[in-house]
Amino acid sequence: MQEARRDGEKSPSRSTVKMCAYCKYWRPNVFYPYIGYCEKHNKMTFDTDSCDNFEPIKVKPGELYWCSTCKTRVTGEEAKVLVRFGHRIHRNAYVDPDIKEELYSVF
Amino acid sequence: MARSWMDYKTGAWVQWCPGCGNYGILNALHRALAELDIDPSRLVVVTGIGCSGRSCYYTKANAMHVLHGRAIPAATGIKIANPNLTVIAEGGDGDMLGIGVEHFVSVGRRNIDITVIIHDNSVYGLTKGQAGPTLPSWWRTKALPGPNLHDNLNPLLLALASGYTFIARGYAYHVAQTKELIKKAIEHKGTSLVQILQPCPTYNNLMTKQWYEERIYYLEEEDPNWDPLVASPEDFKSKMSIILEKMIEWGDRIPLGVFYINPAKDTFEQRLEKVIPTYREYPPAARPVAANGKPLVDPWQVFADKIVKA
Amino acid sequence: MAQNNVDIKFLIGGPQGGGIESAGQIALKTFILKGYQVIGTREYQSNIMGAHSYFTIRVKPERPGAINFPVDAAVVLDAESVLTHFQDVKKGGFMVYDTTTLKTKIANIAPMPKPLKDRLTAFFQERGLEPTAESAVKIAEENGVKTIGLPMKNLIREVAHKTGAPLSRVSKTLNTIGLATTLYLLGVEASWIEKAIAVHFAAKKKVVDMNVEAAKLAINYVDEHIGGPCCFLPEGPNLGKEAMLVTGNEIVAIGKTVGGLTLQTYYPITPASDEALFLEGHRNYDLAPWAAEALELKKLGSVVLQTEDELSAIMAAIGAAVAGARSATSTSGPGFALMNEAISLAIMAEVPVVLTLWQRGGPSTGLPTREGQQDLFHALFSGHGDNPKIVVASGDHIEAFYDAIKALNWAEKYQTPVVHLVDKYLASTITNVYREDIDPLKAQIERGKLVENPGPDYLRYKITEDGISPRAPMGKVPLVWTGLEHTEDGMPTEDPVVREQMMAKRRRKFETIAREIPDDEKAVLHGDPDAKITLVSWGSTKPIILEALKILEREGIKANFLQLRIFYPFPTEKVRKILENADLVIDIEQNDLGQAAFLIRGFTGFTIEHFVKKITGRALWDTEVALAVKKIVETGEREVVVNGGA
Repeated sequence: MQEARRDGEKSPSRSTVKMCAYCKYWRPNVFYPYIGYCEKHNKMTFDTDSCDNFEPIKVKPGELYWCSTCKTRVTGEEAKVLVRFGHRIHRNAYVDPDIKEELYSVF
Repeated sequence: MARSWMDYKTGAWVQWCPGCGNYGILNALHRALAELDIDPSRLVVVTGIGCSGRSCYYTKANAMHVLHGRAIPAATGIKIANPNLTVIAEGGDGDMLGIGVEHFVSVGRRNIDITVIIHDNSVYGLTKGQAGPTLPSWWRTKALPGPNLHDNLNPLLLALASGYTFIARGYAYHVAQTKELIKKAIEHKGTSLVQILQPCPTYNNLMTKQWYEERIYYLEEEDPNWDPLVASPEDFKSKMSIILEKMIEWGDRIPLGVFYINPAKDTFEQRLEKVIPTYREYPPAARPVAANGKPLVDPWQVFADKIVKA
Repeated sequence: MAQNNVDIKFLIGGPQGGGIESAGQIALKTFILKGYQVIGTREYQSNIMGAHSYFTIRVKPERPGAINFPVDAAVVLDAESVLTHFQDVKKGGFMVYDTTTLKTKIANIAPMPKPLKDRLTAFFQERGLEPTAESAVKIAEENGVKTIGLPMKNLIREVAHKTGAPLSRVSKTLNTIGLATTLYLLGVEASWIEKAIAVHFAAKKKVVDMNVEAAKLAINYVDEHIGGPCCFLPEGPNLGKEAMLVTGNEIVAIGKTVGGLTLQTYYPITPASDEALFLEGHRNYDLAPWAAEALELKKLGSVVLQTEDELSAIMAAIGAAVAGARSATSTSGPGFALMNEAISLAIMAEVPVVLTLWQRGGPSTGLPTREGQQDLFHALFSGHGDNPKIVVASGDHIEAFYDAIKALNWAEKYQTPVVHLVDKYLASTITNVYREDIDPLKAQIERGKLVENPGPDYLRYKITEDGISPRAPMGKVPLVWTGLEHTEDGMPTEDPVVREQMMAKRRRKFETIAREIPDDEKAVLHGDPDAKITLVSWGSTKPIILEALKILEREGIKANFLQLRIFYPFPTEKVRKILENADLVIDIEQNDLGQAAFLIRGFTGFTIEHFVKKITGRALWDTEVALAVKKIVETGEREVVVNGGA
């Protein structure tokens, strides 16, 4: 994560861009984060889509978030730092409902 | 003609030390089997390693002497393979609650219909008296080079937590009462535990005959209304706190008797029957595996889900 | 291209759980339907989801024996896959990637292992390139690979638009787009891909529709922007032939079921548990017509028992066996280690039990999801005391099917544990089998000296000339099964005379086994018996080495291959004779110690001087075996370590 911190993608200012990627209702696909699930509309949308129900994520310390850049869960404290390096922070990730069919026995 | 307890003796030299509690336990077992009139051909006794492990050679049955701690899983395999057999697993406290404790716990989760008998003398007799899992901490028997640093565990509570549906405690020298406990345990449908307190005169100079006999008492003698049957949520509500209290009691007074009976839970055999409809009639040990030396199964029929066909 | 020349290799990479498995299966099914034979191998990490994995597929008119790199095509839809596989495609081949991943920097690929990041970063630095997926694509192009960038985001949007479906299975749809692009460019018509999608997602109509739409869209895109294939592949020689698509785990479970298994125990472990899960999924079954008629019985069931640990798994299997069940357990190296003491019990108590040992990379937890052949010693020497047991190693899926049946037969006939050695490569390699490959009527079910009605004088350990005592299951007559040394009636004894008699009885049993199991079953010499170069190996390397022999022959090197199948009782004379006939003997194993060579030396006195090893945990390739053998032949080198595969 340290490495990624120094070198995240440059993102537009989050407060002004009302796109799904920055919305609190949106969960990016765990593997392909440019598409995700909107809890508000119960449908899949793209990260750059937008709508009138947009609400920005409020990152609170002590809670857990999904960093789609790091592909892992981070705490609110960590998330606040990561955002500054251009990482994308979401409430959680979206996993295909039948993912079991794709998984292996691994231990 | 009904069987006598003598019919369950095998003629082998019973090689325990004089004064060993195992003699009482063995005799109580034989008397229980006789009173239940169990056919030795249909009876299975599986034992682990330890003084008590020899029990299988002294009881006329389908005997199996296995590894240290592994009587329960072997008994589990036997019972599942042939649910029509009466299966008893015996071992000491070291065997059942030390090296084999994972099996002691897991058999309760299955509620498989076998009887577990613990010969509990709190020491490892065959290896010169090391502390067993039921020896209290800081106690030092003469055989120990220093005090025992481990706390003792409570087999009754562990059995309850693990899901055993019959839990009893007896005392080795009380053959008549212990016989009754073993009988009830065998008759119970589900996993049953009989913990039998047993002095080891050779290595345990603390928990002696006298020590036990100053402390033990029977639940139903003290309380004529004692009722261990927990068959419903109402029973659970009204009886569990006193049952737990009695299970925990240990020290100046040690209760004996049947602590807990739960007849409401499915046995593992019943659970298997629900998922394998042919199980009861054709269990793994008593079913055909071939027809005239040829396989019973055509894979192209049974595994048709693997066929790739447009 | 004539059908006989068809030999296609491609890989599908992606994050674990990200749709690679479905894509791989659809690809395999496409080619089976089209009349070809296939193998697919999976390489994956000890991780539930997110880490990089890949599925490699090879297609031929006959069953392909091995995979190898470089491949003809790669589907790499995420940056990590692009960066992991950009050098794995051959010149003239093509690589399908997602244009949105191009700018991704190596440092930002969180799941990528650090050593690989370091190697790649240095690689790009040396060439003055940015450490990004884009640089990988550039290098691939320089290497003569056609790179095909798909605007995935747009394509996905279009699928959603066209089907009106909510795209809740994005991962699958995405991979279908990549796969359909690839299959089409490899010369497969859309209709076959659509059929395979329908077969794969059979019951789920919405998923079928969405993926068929995705495939169509991909093919249109290819036609419009890239240009379709020059020509289509002809249908394969086995068009319309009924085939099963099975993994090694599954074929062993199928073998056990056909072999009359009635109870299996297990504790979850990779790469073994899929076998037990598959068995459990098929535990209730209809009897075949011939059996139903003979027994007047329609259905039966087997018990699959998940235990609390491997100690319990083997002990419950042993308990079931003494009760009369046809019983087995299944595990991997770590679980087998826990079973050791009980194996010794089964030897002493003469209990028929099968242990299926799915090897993986060790020591210790090692490489839980990777290939290893490191448990040969472990299998052979498991259990304390003098510890003879039958150890049989299967070379491929078909052998594994029949060996699973034979193992059950031998266990019961000889009242002894049988270790069936298989491995992760076999476990997770998937291939087609035809009716003639797994024919239940070719198998015989044997139970040995099973006594249904023992009399009162029955002796469990009766001393016999062949060392095998009649075996009565529990429940007929009082008897004793024991791990202590015993007299004929099972009562414990330390009498020196009886001890010697019983040791001799058990030894005679193994002499009987050695005599009764034919040498042809124990060791097989493949290829020209007069060749002066002999390759020696065992287990799942068999089909790989058979392919390598063909490559070597094309290079003018004539070699044969001695496949060891049964390590105990060992076919000493046969092996010695074959090895002494060769001028050059090369041992090929996926362990570091040369375990089979060590055993050969112990049993025959023959010392093997040359070794090919692979210890990376990745699938062994026919090409790397051939190259290594060639090198030893040409240079006399003692040992060549091969290491292909990401």
